Amino acid sequence: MKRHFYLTLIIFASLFFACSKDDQVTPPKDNPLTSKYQGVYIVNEGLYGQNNASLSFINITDNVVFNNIYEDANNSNSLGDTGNEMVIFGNKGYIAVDNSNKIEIINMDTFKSLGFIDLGGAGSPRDVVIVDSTLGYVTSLYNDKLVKFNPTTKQILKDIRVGGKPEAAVYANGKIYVTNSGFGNENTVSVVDIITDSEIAKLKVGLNPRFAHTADDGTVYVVCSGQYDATGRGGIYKIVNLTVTDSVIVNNNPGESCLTSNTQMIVANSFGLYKVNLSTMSIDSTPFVNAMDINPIFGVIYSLGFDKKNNNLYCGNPKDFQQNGEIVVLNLSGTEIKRYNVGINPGTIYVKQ
Amino acid sequence: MYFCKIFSVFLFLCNTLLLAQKVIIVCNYETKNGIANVTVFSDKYSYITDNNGLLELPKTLPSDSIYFSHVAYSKTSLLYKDIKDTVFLRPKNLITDEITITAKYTEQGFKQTIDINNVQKSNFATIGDLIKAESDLFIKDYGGVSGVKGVSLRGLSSENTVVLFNEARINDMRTGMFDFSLISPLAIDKIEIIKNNSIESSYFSAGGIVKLSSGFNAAENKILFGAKANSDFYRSVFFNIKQIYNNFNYSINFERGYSSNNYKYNFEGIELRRQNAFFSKSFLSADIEYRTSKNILNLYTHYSHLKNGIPGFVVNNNTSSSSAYNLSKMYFFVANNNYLLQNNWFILGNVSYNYQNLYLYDPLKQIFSNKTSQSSILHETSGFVKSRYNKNNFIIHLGYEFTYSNLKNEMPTENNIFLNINKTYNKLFINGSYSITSVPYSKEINFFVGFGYDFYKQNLLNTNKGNLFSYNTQAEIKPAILPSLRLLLSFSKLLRAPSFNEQFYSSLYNLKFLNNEYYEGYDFTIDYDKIAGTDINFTATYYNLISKDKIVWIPSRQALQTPKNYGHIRYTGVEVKIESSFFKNLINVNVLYNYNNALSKSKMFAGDNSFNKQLVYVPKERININTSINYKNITLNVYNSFTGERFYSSDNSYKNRLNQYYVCDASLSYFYQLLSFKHNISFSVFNIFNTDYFVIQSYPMPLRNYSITYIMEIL
Repeated sequence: MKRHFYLTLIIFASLFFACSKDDQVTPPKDNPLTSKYQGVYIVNEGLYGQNNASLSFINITDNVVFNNIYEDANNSNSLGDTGNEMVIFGNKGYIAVDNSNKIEIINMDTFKSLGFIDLGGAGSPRDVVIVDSTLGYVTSLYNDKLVKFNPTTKQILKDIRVGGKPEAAVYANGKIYVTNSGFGNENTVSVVDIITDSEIAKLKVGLNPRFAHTADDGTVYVVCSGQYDATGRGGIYKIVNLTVTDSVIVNNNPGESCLTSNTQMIVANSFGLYKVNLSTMSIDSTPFVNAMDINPIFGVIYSLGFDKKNNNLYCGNPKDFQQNGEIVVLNLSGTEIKRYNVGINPGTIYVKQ
Repeated sequence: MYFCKIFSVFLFLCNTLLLAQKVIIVCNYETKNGIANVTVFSDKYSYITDNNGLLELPKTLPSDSIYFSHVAYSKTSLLYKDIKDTVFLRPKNLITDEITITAKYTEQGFKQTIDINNVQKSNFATIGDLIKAESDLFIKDYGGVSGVKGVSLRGLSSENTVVLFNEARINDMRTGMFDFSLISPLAIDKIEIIKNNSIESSYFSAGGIVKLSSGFNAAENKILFGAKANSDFYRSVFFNIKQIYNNFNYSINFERGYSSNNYKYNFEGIELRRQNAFFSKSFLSADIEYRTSKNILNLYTHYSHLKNGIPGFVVNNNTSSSSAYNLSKMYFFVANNNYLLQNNWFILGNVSYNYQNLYLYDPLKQIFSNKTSQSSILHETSGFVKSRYNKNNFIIHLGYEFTYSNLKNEMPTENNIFLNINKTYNKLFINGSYSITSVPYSKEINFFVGFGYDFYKQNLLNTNKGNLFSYNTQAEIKPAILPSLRLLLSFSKLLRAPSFNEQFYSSLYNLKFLNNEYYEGYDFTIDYDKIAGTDINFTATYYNLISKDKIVWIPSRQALQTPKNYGHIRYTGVEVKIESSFFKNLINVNVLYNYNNALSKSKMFAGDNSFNKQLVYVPKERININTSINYKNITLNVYNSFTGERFYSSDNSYKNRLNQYYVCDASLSYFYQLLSFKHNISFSVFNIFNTDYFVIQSYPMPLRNYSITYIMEIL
């Protein structure tokens, strides 16, 4: 009995001393209970101002796509206008619906609505981060803010001032990194400490930072789209804690992107998909997928997602932006595997492993 | 013709029974139709005929002279004892009775004319509402009195319809369209809708021509005051003065209206009130006409001041999506001079000036990403000279038009940095018609051909030039066995130049200029007046039109929409119009049926599911059934409108459709005369059955609402 007591004490002590400052707030991680939600979720923006955003789901195992899953589960009610981002935490899905100024919360077992978080007039939520069951953040585009909320009680907790027209938000190292796009006129990333709920740094990157990703090692990569001019000079910036350590120039308005590993990123621009070596911060000179192969009319790759298990890329094809779109599945060599019909303007691909 | 004869007999029988008063009808000598608003007076009394030309003439001495006067007809006087049940008035010719036009002047194409009477002026708040009720044009309505109202003919976009005001083109240079919510019916006396290019017009447009005219459809001098109120908090006061002298007429018109416009609508099962749809408008216009034996000079001017909210779309959890508003000041002047050079030779000159100062305030920066306002100032001067010559069976028109526009537009992304754009537009046109009367089995055959050449130059971010060559040809047959039957076949090739906004934003974001839109097609019309001697008029048209390089606004990145030339469209359909009257014009019925197929005919890419699908927002079927009942001093109008389902995604997916809807409006008017005042009270109910509907997705239409209008005329 005494042996068991001391063993317990040692285990408890080791756990206590093993905690560092970074582990005081548990980073988001997969909950084993959510493994049944594996698959590819597509948030279809719909047509701007037409209240027809929708949600699609691709069952990778069975190779089947389900469209309008929100409407079908909620008495044909619309998801809202301009769905923009989705994350799953626990058995709930959190969908940022831009023009409806809300984060819609759904039960991932039934897709029924569990209510929504109302960001108020011009709230315009763009990207959602769920840190834990009581802590979430969302960028509010027109208010130039990062909004802190409780995902369980749906309460708005605090508004945190960041830069102009914040788009992406990612969590790393106990901080939220927010890209301030300024609609092409800004070039900063706000770093917000989630303990103090304040902006502790503003890092300079390229023009029009719109996308961000966190690698497993806590490095943050920001993709800047640049100005929409003849060159479209943008870039990818590497941030370690509070320092921009490296960058690589990418022309022709890079945007949609995804990490395939800690050392590789796939990024899309108006010419196609490129592989980026994150160790050397270098980009291939030619695309391994041509944009016109994805979207033959305008050469637009509207969204990107990566399935780590099967090493497949999922690309959003909005077609002509006025009709239902497609998801194009490719392997990492660029070979097309399949296409799925989804909703209008598939703007976000969320792969749940 | 037959109506007057039959009715004359009926009146005779009635008069012998009644004895106390004589009911007469005043008719057009040529058409035999009743003439409204004819002043009938003696030295003892003065009356005017009603909408059907009827009048109860009080008994007086047989030797008393009774005068019949109307501005469009030669004045007539008769002794009371000589007055029969029907009095015919002869229309005045263009200049004087001494000079007559000997050539046959035929009216090619299909034209609908709406003479706007006081009842219509009081029933409708905007010209857009009036056109929606009285014609078969589809109005793309964004809701409420101040909601934008653009016309659409045969599924074409609003930019394809040329809008003229007293012969001057008033399409907005920036958008290419005209917003029919901007003009009050009080300022207009006539609307003409011309679907085919005709000898009357120098404009070639696939979407037809809408001509708005201010003039003198009243027979006598009058001063008119009025007020209108509706249940959506709309209040308006107006007055109108018309003075007619021998050769000189003038008219002044003023209206002041305002409304919070918080109309009720349904959304997601909840009744709500429209936000930020307020407006406040002042409108002042003046019209002068001077006639001599060889000349008609017409001057028109108006000033309007309008402040209106931009209500924005209504979507889930965001029903007041906009707090922006517009402030606009507009000044417009047009002068027309119609000169008879020789017996058969007219010269029409026109000069117009259009000034618009628009200020858009966007406090939440939803429209402009980094600023809260945008201003735009337009100066547009235009002039044309048209010559019309007719000899024997020929009529020839030749003309030249020049327009100079200067637009000072604040850059969409910058404050206080203005883009100064100058545009010059030249148009040459020639058209002619030839009539053949000595053709076997045919009363008359008319041929028409018209050519137009446009050349423009504008400095946007770069210099943009363009030229357009259009033509139209028609043949019209009037069979001898059925003189009131007309058969028309028309063929045209037309081009539409991109509007300023289309060209500017294409050059800004797509780094290239757009091509002209191209249209080619034909239509065939059967027009039969007074079928078999009845009062039934029937018109049916089949049309087939193809367009290439249609300009479409397509989202590209970060919700930015940019215009592109995109695809081929085929427009086919049928338009049917049946007009009839019953019980001696007691009841008049108009039935308008439209079937429109506007299909995308180009598969732009593999997997393009828009191929062979209906264009967004174009209904396949529409039916309007309008009924008016005129009994003595009471007029009841009922407007029934059915619109078929529409889609707002190009692949017509079932999820993205707007349901069909039926809307019924009605108005009841009563007028009476007291001393020298004529009083008119109208009560209208719009959307009687409280239909919950959208014309444009996310822009709800008002539920049931009411209005009351009072007009007092001083005779």
